[in-house]
Amino acid sequence: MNAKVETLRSLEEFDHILRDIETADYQAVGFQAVKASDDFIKTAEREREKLTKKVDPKLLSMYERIMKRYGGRVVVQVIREFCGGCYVKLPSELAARCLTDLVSCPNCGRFLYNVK
Amino acid sequence: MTLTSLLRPDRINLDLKAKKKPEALRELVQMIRQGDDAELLLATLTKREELGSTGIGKGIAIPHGRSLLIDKLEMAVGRSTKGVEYDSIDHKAAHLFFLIMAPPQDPGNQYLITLGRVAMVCQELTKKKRLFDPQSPDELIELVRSLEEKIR
Repeated sequence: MNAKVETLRSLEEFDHILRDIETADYQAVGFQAVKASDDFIKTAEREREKLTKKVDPKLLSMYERIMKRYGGRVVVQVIREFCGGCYVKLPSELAARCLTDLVSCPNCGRFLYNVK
Repeated sequence: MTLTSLLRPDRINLDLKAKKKPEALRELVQMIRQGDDAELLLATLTKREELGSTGIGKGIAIPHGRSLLIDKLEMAVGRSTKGVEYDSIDHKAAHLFFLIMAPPQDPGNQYLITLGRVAMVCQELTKKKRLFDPQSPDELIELVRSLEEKIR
């Protein structure tokens, strides 16, 4: 998998963690931060910030725009030459390129990845 | 959605071999995914554990996460009689593990509701050390069913 895709995937999973831990349902379970004295949400936000520094600012802004629009599933898998986010049929050449390059879906803009 | 409806006998291991957290997470994940997918799920869970342990004390751990690889809520359960070093909040070994994996988005936020239900059932399970009672996956499912009815 392309390193940029890998980082964006990590970022997306991190954003899902952040979204969840801010809810009352989650907090009721009683999970704590690594250092019990630390605020759990702030710890997560700090870690997210570290991760965002690994992403090119232009790419990060694209990522955030897509996340805002769809609320999740920003980095999606290509399934038999279809976008795993909007399910539009992708050109074969594009689907193949997702094995190695960072490619966006021409229809929804989500980042695509493909596995052999 | 009940916890019982998410439990499957083939995804319950009452004899985990792991002694430490990473091995325990691996054993749990391998009940629901294999190969590269299992590695990706492990990375997701590890990332979550780095923020704070999902060992909530009294021998219980609830590793959990959302992943693009998951289409619908999935669970696996593991138990270790000897206990696993898990960095739990009470610094004691973890014995019972409920792995919960969810898709990035799920209708009605079933994931968070399930997480809460697991925590409540676990509180009941730790009373009188009932977590060591079940001798088979079916017995554990039955015990969870009875506890779920109690907290309803």
